[in-house]
Amino acid sequence: MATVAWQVAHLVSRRDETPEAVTLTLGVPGWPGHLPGQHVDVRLTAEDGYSTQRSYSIAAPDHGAQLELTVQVVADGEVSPFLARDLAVGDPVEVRGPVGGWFVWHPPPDGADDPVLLVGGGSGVVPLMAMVRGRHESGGRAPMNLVYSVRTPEDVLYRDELERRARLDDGLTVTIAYTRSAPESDARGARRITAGELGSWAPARPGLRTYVCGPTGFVDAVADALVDLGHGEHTIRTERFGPSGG
Amino acid sequence: MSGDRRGGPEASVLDGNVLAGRLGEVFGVDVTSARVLCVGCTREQCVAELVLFETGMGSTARCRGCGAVVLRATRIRDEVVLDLRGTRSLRVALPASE
Repeated sequence: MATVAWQVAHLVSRRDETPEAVTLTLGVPGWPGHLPGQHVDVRLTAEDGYSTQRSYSIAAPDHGAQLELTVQVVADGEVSPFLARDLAVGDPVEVRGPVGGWFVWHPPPDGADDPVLLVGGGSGVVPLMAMVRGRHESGGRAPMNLVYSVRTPEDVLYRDELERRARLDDGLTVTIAYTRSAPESDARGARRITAGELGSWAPARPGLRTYVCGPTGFVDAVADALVDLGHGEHTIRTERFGPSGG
Repeated sequence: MSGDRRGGPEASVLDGNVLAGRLGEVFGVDVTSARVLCVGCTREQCVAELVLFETGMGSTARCRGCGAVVLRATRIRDEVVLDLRGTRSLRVALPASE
């Protein structure tokens, strides 16, 4: 792991993902590179010296000195509304990273094809998207299965790209499961993912490595269900955040 | 992931992954993938897997097996104070051996 000192980044561009989420591209000179799944700490300091920081998953694989973060607005939050709505192109922001060496996916060397299961709840899909994109950019052939639990169709991050990737990327499947309201075309309707669904969408198989990210309750429920379905505890890597993340 | 380190309204990261930045700054290597042995029950787990509670002062990380406190990380002005009373051993992969 390279140095993790704070450094100044600048906002290069922003892209709306949903009414409540935006992807920020930050320019970070000398960025040492990162792996899909890693995150950065972002620190804001007010003029009076008051300082606060948050962690954000990196949404894309390593692209040199540009870093993509997807920020979900937390209505009464202290940092996310500022980043998502007020930070202007060219503005500085302090970042520290990349950090985290455990919840990471290494694009496999040529010929390796161990299957990967990704289960995301709400904005927990962000680091998993870096893995989907990393597989695409490395020309990966390993089977990759993304199960994305999300409240409503309006909350789906990266919808167009996920549809395109699922159609074009050989071996990638994407399942979106709605929990509060679903499009009429979705016969499943809206409800939480059940253990039975996980069993049919993501059967245990040799060599499978699983990444689960989302709110704490979601991650605990999914990880427990997977173990009950016969997945080895040590094949599952988890990352949790609080209830508002979903 | 979006985490509030002080347990406010923004999402608290509730596992050891959140310690990555703070401990990385101290040690210069990734500590979240280090394997830690709990004094209480001798369960071995990654630091990332510990159950994390945030307080105004810092973080308390508990064993996912028995719930005992494995480590505490507290920020006091310009210092990070680590309390490792519940840690029997910490096995850290050096960068060259990754």
